[in-house]
Amino acid sequence: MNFKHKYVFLFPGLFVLIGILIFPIIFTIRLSLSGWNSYTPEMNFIGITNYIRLFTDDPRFWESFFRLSFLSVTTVILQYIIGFALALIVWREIKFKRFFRVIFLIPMMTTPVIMTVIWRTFFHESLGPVNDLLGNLGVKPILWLSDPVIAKFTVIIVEVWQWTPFMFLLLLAGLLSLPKEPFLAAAIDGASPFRKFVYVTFPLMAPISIGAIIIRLIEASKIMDTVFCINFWRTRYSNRNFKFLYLY
Amino acid sequence: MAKIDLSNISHTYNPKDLEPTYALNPFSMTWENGKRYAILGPSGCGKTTMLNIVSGLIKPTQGRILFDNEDVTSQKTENRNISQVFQFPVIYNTMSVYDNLAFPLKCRDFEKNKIEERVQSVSETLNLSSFLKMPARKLTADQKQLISLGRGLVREDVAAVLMDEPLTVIDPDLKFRLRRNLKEINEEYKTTLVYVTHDQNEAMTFADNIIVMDQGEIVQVGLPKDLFERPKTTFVGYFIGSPAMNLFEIQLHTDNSVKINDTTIKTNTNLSKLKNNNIKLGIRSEFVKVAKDESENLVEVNIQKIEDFGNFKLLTTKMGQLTIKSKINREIEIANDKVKLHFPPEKCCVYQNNKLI
Repeated sequence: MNFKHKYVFLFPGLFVLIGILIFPIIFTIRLSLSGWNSYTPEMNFIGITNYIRLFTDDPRFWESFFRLSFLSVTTVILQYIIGFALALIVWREIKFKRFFRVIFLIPMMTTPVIMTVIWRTFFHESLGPVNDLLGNLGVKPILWLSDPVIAKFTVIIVEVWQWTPFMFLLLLAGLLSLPKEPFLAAAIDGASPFRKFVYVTFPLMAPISIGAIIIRLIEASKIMDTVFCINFWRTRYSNRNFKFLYLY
Repeated sequence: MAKIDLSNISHTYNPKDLEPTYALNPFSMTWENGKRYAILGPSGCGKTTMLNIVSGLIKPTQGRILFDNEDVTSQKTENRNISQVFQFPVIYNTMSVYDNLAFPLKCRDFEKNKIEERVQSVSETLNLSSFLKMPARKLTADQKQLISLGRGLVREDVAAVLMDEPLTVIDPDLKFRLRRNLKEINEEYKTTLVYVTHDQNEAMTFADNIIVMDQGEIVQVGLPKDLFERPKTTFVGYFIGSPAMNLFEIQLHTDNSVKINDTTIKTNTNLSKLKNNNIKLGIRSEFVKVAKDESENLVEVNIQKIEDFGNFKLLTTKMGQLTIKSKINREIEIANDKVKLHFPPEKCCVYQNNKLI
């Protein structure tokens, strides 16, 4: 083929790639090296001043960075453990296997904002059923939404509930694709169920586990809707800008 | 080590169907302690099903399995004290070679000294001693298969070592050595070895007894020599030997002779009670020779092809529509297009409805 023709055919793909991937990255880097003020409302180049400020004088950034890291790592670990356990349960020959497989997937099918609003109702400190039930057991009302520490765990509960099915789905697909022979060999070698899990199932699932964890960590680090909806009734936007919820 | 009795065993993978198809038709058989058996047959003939029934990975639809007269039919694999090596290497990736070999003993709570002693002994037999500390996943495919094999051999008290085409991934040189090793292990430890293969050479060189299977049926059990010289069915004649046995449609002539086209061939078989219906004559190409001074059992053929295989020549000849193959000494020169072939009567097998008379 003629040398130039190659570029003609490559051009549309390259154009899209540059337009939607490479340009925004370069633009963001350039933007991070800019200052802005109302007298000269342009991208004024200020070198690495912003980065210096980030590392020396921006506690808000680090506070939110560590909070986000805590939330995403904790939720993903819990999702992985629970998702793996559920996948192991329905992987075996149990009764109503198909029924359980579908049931476990339902949370993922729901819209995050709607489910968060429902969960917020559950956890409502005076009207919600959770505190009501705990009250019947003699537990004092817990400040699920207003205590800064407990509210983090509320977000974790909602996130884990919503996204464990995703982990479950990936891990179940992984389990179903595993070869039979290693399990047969372990049975012949006399391995206990625990040893089978540690030496056969878990190592064989490692590549799939890493993939699933990375996908979920990326998603979890973009957490916004759950946190916002759990807490937005306390913010000054609560009554006026309700419509923005339709964004989600 | 144990005597294994398979009593009236059969198996189907679809027992709930109205007309289930049987992967294994009913059969009974005894595997003697300390012997080497090969299960030989084409793909899908039920070899692996039979092996899995013995190891307990499959419960037979019907019949009983006895290890030293103890019924183990309902026992799980782990309680049967057998060992199985699969077609592709199965190792524990996270463990070292040593830990892989020690694993079956650790699972059975053996003492540390005993484990050490057994692992050393087996690793020496399989030439794995220098790799013991290496992570098992870093070994080559054939070394990994040796580990699988080693895990089977590391338990001294194992009832039988079952092998499902274990040498598929191993290169030919090592295959030869390993088969010899397996024989030595069998002779030294008196371990019953059962070897599934579709390769007749592997079966012939390895086993005391060969079990030939076809379509879920055991068609012949015997010594390599019997299978070669007196195949009980035309399938065995066709499947064993390279090239396959010469087989011709024939007409009965007298009580011990038959006619191929118009040529009379004497056999050592009493044919008096046979009817002229679906009768075949079989003779190995190894036994069909170019006639020298014989006066009987001669067939005149046209030579089609002469192939030199180095250690022998293979003649492909035609007698009318029939093709006859003959393995001859490579020094013999064939000058003419026509030649007379001799069929020794004692090597002629007569089949009715594909079964040996």
